Amino acid sequence: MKSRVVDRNSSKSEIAEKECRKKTFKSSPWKNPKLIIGATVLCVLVFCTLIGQFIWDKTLVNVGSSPLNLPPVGFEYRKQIGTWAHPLGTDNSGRDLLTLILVGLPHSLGIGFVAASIGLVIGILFGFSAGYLGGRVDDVIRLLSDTTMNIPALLILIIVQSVIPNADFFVMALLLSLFAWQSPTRVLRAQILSMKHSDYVKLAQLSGASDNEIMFKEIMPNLLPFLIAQLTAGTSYSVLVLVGVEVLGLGSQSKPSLGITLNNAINSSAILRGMWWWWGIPTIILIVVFMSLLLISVGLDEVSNPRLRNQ
Amino acid sequence: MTSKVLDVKKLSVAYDTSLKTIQAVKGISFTINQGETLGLIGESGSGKTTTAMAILRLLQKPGRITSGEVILNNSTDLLTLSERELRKVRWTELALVTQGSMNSLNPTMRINKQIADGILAHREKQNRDELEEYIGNLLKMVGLPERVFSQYPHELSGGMKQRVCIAMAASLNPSLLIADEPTSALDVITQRIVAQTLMDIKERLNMSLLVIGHDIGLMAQLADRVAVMIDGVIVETGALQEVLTSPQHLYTQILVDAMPSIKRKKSLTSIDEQTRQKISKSLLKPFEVKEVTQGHWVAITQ
Amino acid sequence: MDQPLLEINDLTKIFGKGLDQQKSQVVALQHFSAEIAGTPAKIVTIAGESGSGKSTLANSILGFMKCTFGTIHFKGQDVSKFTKEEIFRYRREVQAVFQDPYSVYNPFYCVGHIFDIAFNNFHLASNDQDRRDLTEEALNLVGLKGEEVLSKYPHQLSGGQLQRLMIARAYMLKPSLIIADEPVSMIDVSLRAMILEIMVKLKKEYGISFIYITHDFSTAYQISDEMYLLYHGMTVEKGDTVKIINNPQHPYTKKLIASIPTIEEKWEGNIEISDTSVSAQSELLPPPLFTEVEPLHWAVLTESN
Repeated sequence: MKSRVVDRNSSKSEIAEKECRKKTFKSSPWKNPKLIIGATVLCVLVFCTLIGQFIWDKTLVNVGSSPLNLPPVGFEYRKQIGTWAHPLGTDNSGRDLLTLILVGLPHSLGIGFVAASIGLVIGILFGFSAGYLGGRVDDVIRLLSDTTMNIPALLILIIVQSVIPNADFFVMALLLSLFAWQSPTRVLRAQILSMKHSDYVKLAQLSGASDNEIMFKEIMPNLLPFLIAQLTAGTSYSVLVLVGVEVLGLGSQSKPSLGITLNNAINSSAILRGMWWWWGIPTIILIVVFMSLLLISVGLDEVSNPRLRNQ
Repeated sequence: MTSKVLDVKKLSVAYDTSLKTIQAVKGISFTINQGETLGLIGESGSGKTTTAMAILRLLQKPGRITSGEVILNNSTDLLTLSERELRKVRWTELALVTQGSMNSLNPTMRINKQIADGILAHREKQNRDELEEYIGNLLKMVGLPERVFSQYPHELSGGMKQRVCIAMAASLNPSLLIADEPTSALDVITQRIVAQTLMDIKERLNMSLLVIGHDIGLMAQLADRVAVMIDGVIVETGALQEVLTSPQHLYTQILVDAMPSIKRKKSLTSIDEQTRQKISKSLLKPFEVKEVTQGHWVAITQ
Repeated sequence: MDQPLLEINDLTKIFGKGLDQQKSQVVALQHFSAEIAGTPAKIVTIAGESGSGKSTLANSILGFMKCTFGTIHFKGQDVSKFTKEEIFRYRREVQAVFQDPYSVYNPFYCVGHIFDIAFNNFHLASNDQDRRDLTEEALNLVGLKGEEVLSKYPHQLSGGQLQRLMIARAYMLKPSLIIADEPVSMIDVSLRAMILEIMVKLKKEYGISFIYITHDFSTAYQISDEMYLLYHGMTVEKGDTVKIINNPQHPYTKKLIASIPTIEEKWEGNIEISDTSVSAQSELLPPPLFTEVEPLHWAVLTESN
């Protein structure tokens, strides 16, 4: 009933889109430079830290295991010259910065990734039910996600931390996942709402396909890029919140992490003392991690949504 | 001796993609005489719209004109003009109406203001009353009631909006109006009204018209001469009746035969993709263009 | 006397009549009644311009949309009262070909997927050999070869090929009725005829009836037997296709037929311009009164006749 004017109008643009689809398929949308750069940087970083776990002495994270206030290689700080034994320098309690990063980065990323995964699973369940079933289910889920979405995660975590001061890996991940399911829920719901009325879903219905079959065989595969994009965006968000909590001095202090390192640096007025490597290097690492995660999710967005691709 | 409004000589357009360069228009030539309507017929992907955009030099980024001349009014080669000179020629000498024109009207502006803006952008300051009267006349010419003057686009139907666009295009009295699928998104009755308007305004303002489309039936109503285009090549040009009654090129024959009619039942000739591809292949080789009868040119391909 | 294959009675669909009373309602389709005998098979055209309600009708018959009132009976049974199994059976008997061949195929799979889901759900073949034979038979009918097309992705085939694959899929289910919703409007003119021919062939040789939904009267004139002409959701003329087009009665039909561009002759004169900005039908009118103009041709006659 939406009048054929629209249809015929679109017929032209669809021909154009089809040609565009043809073109981009030839040069594969997955060859998106943002996606490739982001993924490469992240992989290199993760790979290096994993390798480093084995070849580097992990006991160097302990307090007093190394000389104090040592600058990175090639720099001099208060008559101390950086050595290859501690290439990124040490802090004021004798912890090796490289070891801190090698141990801390996978830990932070891991928590973020697990939190995002839990969020995504909830998002898939909720998003599919809301989009596909509609009606009351949709109303409830939308209400829930819309209201909880605007609660600042950091604030809640600060309060929760005061109750559970030493949250371990999984507790932390679970807590963070409370804030990681709304976005995937909303995105998936919207996608499913539009796909639900697509011609290929109609055709599957005409072919006697069940609801489950339509959801998982027809709709889900086309959502793959969206899912991965949501996962990376969720990871990035969770890591950000986690670091935020740690920088404030909250969170489990038992395991080294980038956020806690930053917190220590701030507490020991590293900036005033000119110990730039102490706070600078972890910051750079975090920026690189966030940038690469952002590039991946933006790249994936472009892969799944051709309209964002510039000609 | 009729004067040529537009003389397109060996125009080629290519699109650069990351993998290869695609020739969208391959050295086509055609002319439009003063006061004439030329119909450029082609199916999707034939390069007909690309041709129009190349003539107006409005090609989008990966597309570029590789060679050729487009001579307007026997004097200026549009392809050699600078961007500033071009802006003067567009709208005053060459105007464009497309399928999507009606959706390009500014939704927040009254119709009279939109047309006035178009005129003022190219002409010196004009007396306000004179301008309003002029716009009123224009709207009357395309058969729109007076109230449209101060209405907003969303208050008009698709056909009316398209006629506003025709009025805008004609507002500076161009010598050539290019209409690219001007009625494709419209209903049958509206299509006829818009087509009527086009023919009417062309007569009144003594313009020439280049109509681009895929519907031979519509072309048969509008055009004096037609050019049939496929794969960036014009395979046949000639007077409308002659091309329709005795099409020479295989592709033209197929197009004419495949056109269903409400006048008589006929068995529609069907071709499949293989035949289409055969025609496409035959066009890849160099071919001669032969004049069958006066003014009826056919590409000899095998 | 056999049951008619499909019997539609007083079918009406009103949109936007919900909680919000202020919102104007749109009557998309009203008082539509039709009967499709099934034997002999016929191609029945539902013709109309944009907003005439023809897509609403197609969606209702296919069960994608619930109507406000009116009934659809399939072989004497009320479609709206079908149980799950009956819907399943109905799906096999009533198939569809959609307008846009590019959007019907899931871009994630190669085109063979549409055959696979049909095979799996309807258990059409007991073994792989049967499966291949059946597919090949259906593809031959539409002039395609399995090994050339089935493992291609949708964007690698032309609109004409995709649409023929759709028909092959529908045929494979051996339905008694196919709803063809603007099947050729997005196909290049030179490739259209082939699809129309296949439809005629399926009707003649395999006894499959078609509901051909279109705005294109020329193709309807060429292939269809009966026609229902819709205007703003209302049937204004019905009967033998050729008779309606040759001798239109309702003022709207007259204007419409006179506006169709043909290559045989030029339009005569100018038609008057009526610029009542087309607004959607918002009122439910009484059922149309048909007058038999000539045998097999009924029209709603207005005062101006």
